[in-house]
Parts: sequence; structure tokens; C-alpha cells
Amino acid sequence: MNDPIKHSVQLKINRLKSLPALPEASVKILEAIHDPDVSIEKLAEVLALSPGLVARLLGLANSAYFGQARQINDLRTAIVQVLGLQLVRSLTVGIVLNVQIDSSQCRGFDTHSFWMHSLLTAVAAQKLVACDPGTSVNSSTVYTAGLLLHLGVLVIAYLFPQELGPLLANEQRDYLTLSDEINRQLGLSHYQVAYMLLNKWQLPDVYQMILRRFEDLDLTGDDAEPIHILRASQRMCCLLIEEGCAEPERLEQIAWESFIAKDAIVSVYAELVDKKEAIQKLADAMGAR
Amino acid sequence: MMQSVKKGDIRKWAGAGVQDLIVDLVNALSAVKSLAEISCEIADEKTLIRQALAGLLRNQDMERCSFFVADHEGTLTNVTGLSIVDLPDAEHAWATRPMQFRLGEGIIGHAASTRTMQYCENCFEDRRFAKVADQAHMPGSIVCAPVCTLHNVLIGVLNVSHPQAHFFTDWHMRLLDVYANVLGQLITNRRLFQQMEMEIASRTAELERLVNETRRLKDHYANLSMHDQLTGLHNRRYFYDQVELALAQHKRYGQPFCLLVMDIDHFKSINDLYGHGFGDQVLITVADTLKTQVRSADILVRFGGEEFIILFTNTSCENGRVLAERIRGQVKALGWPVEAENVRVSLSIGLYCALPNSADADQQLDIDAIIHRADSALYAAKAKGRDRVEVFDTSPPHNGDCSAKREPS
Repeated sequence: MNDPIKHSVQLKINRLKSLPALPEASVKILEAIHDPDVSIEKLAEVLALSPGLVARLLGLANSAYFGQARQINDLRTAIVQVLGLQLVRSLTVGIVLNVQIDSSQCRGFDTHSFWMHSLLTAVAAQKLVACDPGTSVNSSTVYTAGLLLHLGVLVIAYLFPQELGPLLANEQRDYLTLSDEINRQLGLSHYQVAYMLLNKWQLPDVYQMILRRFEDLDLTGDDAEPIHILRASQRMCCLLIEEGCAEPERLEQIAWESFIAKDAIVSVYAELVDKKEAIQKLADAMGAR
Repeated sequence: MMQSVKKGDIRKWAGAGVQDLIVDLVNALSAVKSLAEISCEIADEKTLIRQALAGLLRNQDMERCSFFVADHEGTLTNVTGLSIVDLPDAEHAWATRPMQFRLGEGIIGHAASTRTMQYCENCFEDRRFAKVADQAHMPGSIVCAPVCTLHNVLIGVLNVSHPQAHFFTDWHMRLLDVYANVLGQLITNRRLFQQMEMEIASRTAELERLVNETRRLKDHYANLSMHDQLTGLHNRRYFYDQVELALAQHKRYGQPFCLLVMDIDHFKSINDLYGHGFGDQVLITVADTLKTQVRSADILVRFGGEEFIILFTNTSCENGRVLAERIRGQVKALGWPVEAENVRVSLSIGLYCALPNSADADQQLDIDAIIHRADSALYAAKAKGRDRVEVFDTSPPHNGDCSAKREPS
């Protein structure tokens, strides 16, 4: 690992106060924030459309200042029990209106693609957990972890737009191979970059652990299950975005690699195919495209 | 009730950077809160300072921080340092020895001597950093905040740095000012706490020493009060203290015992003839002889002057008499050479046998009455020519082996 580069990445992450809310979510977030009658559930649901906001709000809720006895893992609890609606509104409006990616500097970064990857991975992970009644993995935790899985790409696009741009120029590049390219360029994968940020922002240990160990080859113990679920979710997501309907062999391969029942993978993938249309429509309705 | 955000309000947010202010505020408060949560009871000051530095780095965007402690000679020595790439428990290994500054020397020494925060915005252009040997690790900007006690006594200097020049903002400076103040109070409290602990430990040790000394003296004087210093035997006080137990056992379990009252014959004459020093030697030798005749459960005391008492527990009258005769014989065999003469002494012994089924047992005699009876037997022994054993007759005259009759006093 290139230590000077890592150090410089660490320094930049150290100064990072917030990440941009993506255009796909911004309009919807502003609408919800301005609605005096919006329910907490609805607000949390809308805010969850922005991985950067989720990370920032969860990090603040877990900061020493708020002194929570236990870690706050989900957004709704963060809003209701810790931050309060007023602070969330102020912070969210500020981020949505003021923090943007310089698209001229990072031409290859497609916010729509990033958003689809994040959301589909989160939804897939949640559905895989629902398929296994015996699992100890928490559904909302794995959803949030899925949402945060590619946060490193957003961080790099925001902090190192010129380094990331050329890597994204290749249209054949998907988020699986992108990680290797980023690693070659920065000496760190985008998972490690995301871990640095989550660590700095003091997100709950479970999210830090997932990002820190996501590329580990020998996973054991309690850490293994959520990571296997997220790896499978990520692969399904990439498959869905690239190919739509997948060959059974591909799904069987995902099931085998992630120690998840093939039936669960097949069933969740079929649901994702339907969901993809809905998410696509949602993005179009928001005027993102 | 949540108020709605008007479009005008939204425009006000744009460009205001309010989100950064919120984050900065929460981070600053988190840093201070983490500092406030450090216990002043930590034994090691370096550990406490390291925790304080870690809290600062965790909640702020500085890159490196260190702490220099001031000593009484005006030297500031680097005790610990941390950077964002350090592991939380990483320990800096000093290549040679820790960095030091004198008061007034360099930016750190200047912060210490003036008691004011120093900020070098661009170390690359500051002549004070021109001679820094390790240019590769030279900071771009550095803040040195003096850390003092409440009475403005210098504790040390907190340094925070960043590779980038002009990095630190007013916000950082204000936070570091507060942080240094709270850290100063924390270190002061830890030192006071340690002093108090040492004071308590010292006083506790002193109290323990005094308690032990008191106990030793108490034991010593209790011992003195129970012992006869000349012969080393127990004394009358001890006898009365211990004899109750023997009496209780006699009454409860029906165990017989024998009480011997012994008196060295013509001892006053020995003192008069050979002097008190010689008399003392006689008493010591007789006492040593008596010691060889008693068991641990028996009671042997010097009752006063040349008078000794032995209480043989769980001993029949017959055995008591045998023992008394043996003692008398052994004392009679003793000799003290004085010039051409060999001085000898004899012992008169009064024996009282406490038997479970005797008439005395029914009377529930106390110890004074028992001693009085043994004394009567001794009186009888003296009256019958000394150097003999007389047993107090507790049985009716017609069936008693023990036939000593008490002389009218």
C-alpha cells in the first residue's frame, strides 16, 4: 500500500464534513423536509435515498456529544431519539443545497448509476435476510450497510474527481472491477476509503466492520454472514444493471460463493428485476433523467 | 410542532454552509465531552494525556498532536504524541531521546513562557523552523496552546499540527483554547488526586504503624503485667486470669485438679546472709526447676516473694502428691557454690486437691478459698519442720488418706 497516498486520502477524509446528496434523491428529500406534516417514517425513508446523508446523520447521532449509551444503527432512531427533527432539517437542507459533486472534474461519475447500485444492493440484502428466518442478521442494519457499501466511490468522486474520472470512462467498467482500478490508482479500494470515512464519522461498529472486512478472503464468526449477504447482493445488483435477466448458472455461482441457498438468490433476483423498473421510474419521475 | 421551510428560507441556506457549522459544533462539543469523560483517577499522567490527544484527533480534523510537559527547571519534554495514522494504542518509539525545549525556545517554548497560544500559519516560511532536521515531517501549520493550572502555573504545551499551511481556522483556535483549559484542569485534578492518594496511603501506613506499635506495646505491657520479670514465670495477675478456666472445667466436667502452694524455707536468711543478688539467683534457679515439672495445660506462677503456685489440671490427689514430692526433692538437690560453701535450699509445699465428689465440690469454692486451703496446708508443712509436703484434708477424719490437720493460726 502506498503510504503517502493513503496518508493524503486520510487527511482529506479527515476534513470531510459531509457528502453530496445525489440529484436523484435531492428533490424528494427537499419535498419531505418542507412538508410540515411529514411522518418520521416517511422522512427516514426519503433520507435513506441518499447514502451520504445516511452516513452523516448516523455519524452525528453516534458522536460523543450526544453521548448515547448504545450505538444507533438506524436512521429513524437517529432522528427520533437523538438528533431531533429540527437539526435534521437544517443539516439536510444545507447539504442538499450546498454540497455538490463537481461533474466537470469527474466526468465519468454517473450519479444515477451510483444511486442504483447503492439502492439495489440495499434492497437485495434486505430481501435475502427476509428469505432466511433463521438468520441473526438485522434487516434494517443490512439495508443501511448495503446503502453505504459503495460510499467510497462517492467519497473519491467528491475528493479525487480527477483521479476517478478516467477510471470511470471505460463503459465496460462495473462496480466489481472498479474497486481493483481504484486500488491501483490510490493504493486503497473504495471499501477501505469508505471505512476510513465511517470510522472518522464514528458510525456504528457493525458498518465499519463490514467495510473494513468486505474484501477479506477468510471470513469467520459473526462477521461473515452479513458480508456474505452483501457480497451476494452486490453481485446480483451488478448483474441486474448490466444484463437484466441472468443465466441460472450465474445465480448459482453467486449462491455458491456466498453460502446462500440458491432458491433464495433466484427468488430475490426475480423480485429485483421488478424493483429495477420501479426504481428506474422513480428516478425518471424525479427528473434526474 | 414542526414549522415549514419557506422558499425564502431555502435560499438563505444556499451558500451559508450551515451544515458545516452544525458538524463543526457537534465535533467541537464531542471533543470537549470526550475530554470531560476522562477519569482524573488514571494513575499514569502520560496515559491520561494520550487519551486526551486521541479524543481531539477522533473528533477533529487535525493531523498530529503532541504534548510537552514542563519541569521545575523550565524544560519542556515531549511525553507523547499521536497522528491520525497511528493505531489508538500505538506507542511512539523515540529514536534517541524525546524532544526538549527550554522556556522561550522555539514556538513551543514561546507559548510556555508567554502563557499565550501561538499559531504558525506557514512553517515552511517561518525562520524558527529553518533548522528542523526532519524536513520531511515538518508541519505546514502548527498551534501551540499552553496548558496551565487554575492558578496559571504552567503544566505543559499542547501542540496540534497539519501538513497544510494556513490550515487552522478561528474555530480551531477557540476550540483549542477551551480544550487546553479543560485539559489543564484535568491534569491538575489528576495530580491533586494522586497527591491525595499518596497522602492517604502515607497516613494509612503511619496509622498502621502506630496501630502495630500500640498493639506491640499493649502486648508488651500485657505481657509485663502477666509476667514476673526476674524469673520469667507468670505472676499473680496471670494466675487469677487463667485459673477461672481450670475451675470452670472442674465444675463442668468433674475434672480433678491439684493446687500446690510452695515457699522457699528461710529465704529471708539467705537474702540477709548472701545478699539480694544471690537471693535472686536462687529464685531464678528454683523457678527454672519448677518449669521442668509442668505441662502446657498446668499453671505455674510466682505468687509473690519466695512463694510459687502450681495448678496441675486434670490431676488426681495421689498424682498431685507424687508431683509435689518430686518438686521438693529436685529443689532440695539444687546447690549454689559460694566461696567454699555450697548453699542449698528446701521447699515447703501445701497441696489442695479439688475432687469432683468431695464436700468442697458441693460448696462451689472460689479460687481464694482454694488458695486459702492450700495455704493452710503450707502453714502445716512449715509448722511440722519445713521441707515437706502437706495435703489439705478435705475428707472426713475417719476415711482420709490425706491426714494433714490445719494448725490453728
